[in-house]
Amino acid sequence: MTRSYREQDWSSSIAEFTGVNSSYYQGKFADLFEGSRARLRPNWAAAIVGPLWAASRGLFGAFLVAGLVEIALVIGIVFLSTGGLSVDNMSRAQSLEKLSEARLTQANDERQKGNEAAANQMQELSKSLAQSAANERAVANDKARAATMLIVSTIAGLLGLRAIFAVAGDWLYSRQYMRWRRDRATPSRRSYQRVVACGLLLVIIYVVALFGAKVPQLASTLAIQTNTSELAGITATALDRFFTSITQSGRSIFDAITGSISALVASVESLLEGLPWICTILVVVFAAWLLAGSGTAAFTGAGLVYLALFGFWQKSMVTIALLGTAAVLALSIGIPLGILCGKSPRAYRIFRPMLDLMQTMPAFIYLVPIIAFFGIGKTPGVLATIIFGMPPVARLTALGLQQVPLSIREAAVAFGATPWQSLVKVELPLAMPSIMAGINQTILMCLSMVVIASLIGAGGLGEDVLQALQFASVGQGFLVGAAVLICAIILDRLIQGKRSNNQ
Amino acid sequence: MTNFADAMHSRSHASAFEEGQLRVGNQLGVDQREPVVSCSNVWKIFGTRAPEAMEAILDEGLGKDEVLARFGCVVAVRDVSFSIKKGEILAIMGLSGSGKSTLVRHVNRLIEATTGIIRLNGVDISKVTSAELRSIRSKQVGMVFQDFALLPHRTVRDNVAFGLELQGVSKRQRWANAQAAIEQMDLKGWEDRVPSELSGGMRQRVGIARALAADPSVLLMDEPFGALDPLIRRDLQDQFLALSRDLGKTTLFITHDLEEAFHLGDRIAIMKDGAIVQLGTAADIITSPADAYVADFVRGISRVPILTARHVMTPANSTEPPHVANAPVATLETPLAELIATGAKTRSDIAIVDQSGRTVGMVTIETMLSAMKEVR
Ligand SMILES: Nc1ncnc2c1ncn2[C@@H]1O[C@H](COP(=O)(O)OP(=O)(O)OP(=O)(O)O)[C@@H](O)[C@H]1O
Ligand SMILES: [Mg+2]
Repeated sequence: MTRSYREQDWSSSIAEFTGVNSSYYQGKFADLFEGSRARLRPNWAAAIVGPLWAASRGLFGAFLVAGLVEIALVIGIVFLSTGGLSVDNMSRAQSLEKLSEARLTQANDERQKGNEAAANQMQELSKSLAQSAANERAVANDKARAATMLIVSTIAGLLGLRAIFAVAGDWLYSRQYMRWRRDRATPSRRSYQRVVACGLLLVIIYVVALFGAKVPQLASTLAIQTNTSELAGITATALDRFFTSITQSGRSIFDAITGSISALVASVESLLEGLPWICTILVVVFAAWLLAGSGTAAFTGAGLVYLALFGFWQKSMVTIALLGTAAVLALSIGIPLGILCGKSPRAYRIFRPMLDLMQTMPAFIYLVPIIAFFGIGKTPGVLATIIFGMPPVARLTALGLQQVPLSIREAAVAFGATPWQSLVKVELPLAMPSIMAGINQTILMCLSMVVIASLIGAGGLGEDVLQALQFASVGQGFLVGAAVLICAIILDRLIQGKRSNNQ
Repeated sequence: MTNFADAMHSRSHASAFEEGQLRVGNQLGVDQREPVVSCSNVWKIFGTRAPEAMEAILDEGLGKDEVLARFGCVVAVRDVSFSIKKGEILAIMGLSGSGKSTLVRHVNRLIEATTGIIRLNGVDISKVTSAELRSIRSKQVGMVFQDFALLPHRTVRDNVAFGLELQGVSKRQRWANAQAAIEQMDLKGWEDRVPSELSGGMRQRVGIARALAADPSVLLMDEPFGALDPLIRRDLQDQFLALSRDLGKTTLFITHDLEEAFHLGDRIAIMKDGAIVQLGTAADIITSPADAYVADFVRGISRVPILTARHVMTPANSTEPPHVANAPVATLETPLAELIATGAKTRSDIAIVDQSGRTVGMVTIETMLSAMKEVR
């Protein structure tokens, strides 16, 4: 059993992987796989050239980590051994001594003038300055002594690192070998090109970092010197022109989108605002009771009354109208997109980077291109919200579909389901918890974006938040914040409640 | 001892023509029936280079490992041919990875063969359109899975009615059919529960009911009782056996468990590395294993419930009629267990007679004892 790693098929494949020095690695890997004590024997090549050994064998991760740590340690040694720690104290001591001498001369001058009192004062001052200078010198000496200790321990660290390399290097390499067995694209054999490239990289980093630490002037000359504002200005103008041309050529499309969205928002808004607030509260509280039980209903009622009494009602309704429109649109784009991604790995590969981008970009950055195409107001606000809110539901829908057990999907096919039947009757119901979580997240992200969208004139509660920020009015800000929070909690509870009721 | 072995050998040859016959019940007219499922020279090679690998196998006779090394392809089914008659249960037996699941999934074309022909009720299923295929899957084949594969969001009733629902059968009709299947599997009263409220054994009964609901002619069962504990498994085996005798379903039954295979299968196919190494009745396999692999498999299995007088008797020499005048009498199909009981009571040899009452052989205490002993 244990001998099997030394047998022909393993040995020849290890030899194919390692190239040079294969007999050493054949023995070593077998030791590692068998867990024999000999697996701890050091690899001297790895110990002596350290990161460069890793580079030559294609262990780029180990190379990078160890290389950077070693550079940091070496720079530390250089810094310490040139008195880097005590240099500040030293120069301070020197200037203090100069001052003290100056005061002493002043004192002597005064004494010659016969101004005894002033002379004494000066002399005192000089003495105390001399004292501080002596203190500084003492500190500098202490630091210099400490520096020696630090240098010793840093060198010890460096050696320790190499020791780790010597012992763990082959282990890392054997893991690389196992990866290579699975995937032949994994780097294998020894190559000097890799050593040269990686060595060059280390040297460059070392030089730049060393000068950065030691010689600030040099570092600033090495830094890229361009008139950044000028460059940005040119580019911005070019982009302006670009966006304008797109907007003009696509005017009719943008107008159509703007028109339909603003009509949608307006109708939802007029519905919500037209209804007397008491009616709305009753309806929502009843819905909350139905969907999520009496506790949530009570909270909802209290929250809505707060909105009404503190004068946030109208703005809340605007926010909810914006949110409702945006969320419905985000869901009706996001869920089908998620289904597509869940069913087709290729579509997922294409869309995932886009979804990542949409989600990771700071919310404010969306606003810029949106303003370029759609101007300011409610429609761009809704569009930005859709883009920001859509990724979670798309992602979680895809995830939910991917997690449907294979055997259940197979059962559907075995009983004669068409792809559509399988999707609707089996996969979507099984993915439902995940999809509902996605819907919840999407709606809450839409809410946060709707608040931010007041920056581009979308209106609603965000406007009050903005005002509170501009005038630093803490009290007002607190009240609006509570209003937004209440909206968020009510929405969250309503959707969650529906989910737990389903199960 | 040598005599006995020789006798066994010649007997199994004598009964070779009966291969494929049902072990119990309606034995008349067996040979006239058309096969319900038949496979001829089916190969399945997984991997993108399957056609190339197939060529190389046919030209150079490569083995499984060589194909994997050269083409990165897995040979899952290797030149399999068999046919199953109506009402027969074929147990498919083999170690993990021997290709049982893959083979069975060819019958309803969940997996397409690399080469070879599969016929279901006389139809070459590789030639049907996708609509016809769906109709075959839902009406002619029922499938049961090891991990049940029930739909967790549906009640027992809706799970059982699932196949009919896919066919577009009206709600009234499908619920009626489902109810019948549910009652057949002793699940009455559980119709409105969801699977998570059921025990493992009950879940698999739902799985079987679902497969039966559309009254298919063929059942595919992929280790249906593999996940159940021994007591419940035995229960379900007996229930299934009775049911399948009643309904006359043609069944492909995958199992890991030799006892189960012998208990349920009219015939047993033993697979190894994608090929069927032996196909025959339990008695065939136990009395004359095709090779060391099969012999290894059946070692340690109890032979008493499997063998009958036909297998253990010493044939009577026609020139020399049996000398015991009033010996107890048994037929060719009398199980060994019964012979032992008779022998123990009367302490004498037993005469074996055929249908016309002619004495065709003798069973002595010694022959019974050596028959019980395993072949090494
Ligand atoms: N989709 C697939 N792609 C590639 N290889 C597969 C695929 N399905 C099965 N195989 C391979 O085919 C061989 C037979 O697998 P199969 O599932 O039929 O075995 P099995 O006899 O059912 O085993 P078990 O008893 O464990 O279920 C295995 O070597 C497996 O790795
Ligand atoms: Mg299987």
